[in-house]
Amino acid sequence: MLEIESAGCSFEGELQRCLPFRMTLHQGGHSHPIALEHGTIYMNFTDSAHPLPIIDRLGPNEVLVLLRTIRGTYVSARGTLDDVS
Amino acid sequence: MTNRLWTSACAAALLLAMPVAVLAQSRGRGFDFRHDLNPPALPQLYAVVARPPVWRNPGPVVANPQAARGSWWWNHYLVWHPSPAFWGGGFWGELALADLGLAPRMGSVVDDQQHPLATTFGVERASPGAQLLQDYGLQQAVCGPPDLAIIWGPQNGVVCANPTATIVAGDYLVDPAAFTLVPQTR
Repeated sequence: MLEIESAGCSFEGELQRCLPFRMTLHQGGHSHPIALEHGTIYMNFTDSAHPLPIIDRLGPNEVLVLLRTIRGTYVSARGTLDDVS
Repeated sequence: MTNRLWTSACAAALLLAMPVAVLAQSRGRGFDFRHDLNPPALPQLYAVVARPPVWRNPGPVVANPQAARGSWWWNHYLVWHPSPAFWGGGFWGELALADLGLAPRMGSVVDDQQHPLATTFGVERASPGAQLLQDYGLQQAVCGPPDLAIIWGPQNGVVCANPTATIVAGDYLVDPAAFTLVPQTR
């Protein structure tokens, strides 16, 4: 499991856009901090889809994650949030 | 409020179509970050601020013409945190520090002896900083010439703007909570 612990978030229209700066990998009973170079997370907490410049649209409760680590590992994830706290 | 997001293989399907140097590939029980488990020290990043000014005698706050009540009103009342990997903490847009060496510059802020104090870049259209400039009716200008409004945002991210009747030439600090400009004297 990849935990994004801290991010600076603002809004781009109706979509929330976060710039993460702390991330931890939880795997095999251990936790490892992963040094981020930069990344962006888009989240849609509304009931309707909204366009994004980089993809056609982001649907309700959808999330788009784009990250690059200091070591040059890219993470690209798109999915639906199953829990928001 | 620090925003927390948990994502996992269950919650999000990985797309591995990006042009990649190293991919975090699934190996059945998770993703492979073996290159990242012992990260090196942060690389030398592009020097943005040569010598930040020392501020004296702040002037009265210039109220944001669009301001609503309460802190963080501009961010749906959520506290905004600067992200250290981005120029100006991301306030002016998504320009990563690692990319600054190649990013188009918008001049430099200099001191009275023309020594550079900070390099500046273009404000991204959908950024909080762009909204701030719009609220005050300001337009970004290339830093360097005299008689500009010089606006210092979070983490010494600085931009210049053509002055107006309200925001006259001089230095200003951004108060990100109130989303206002505070005149400063060097």
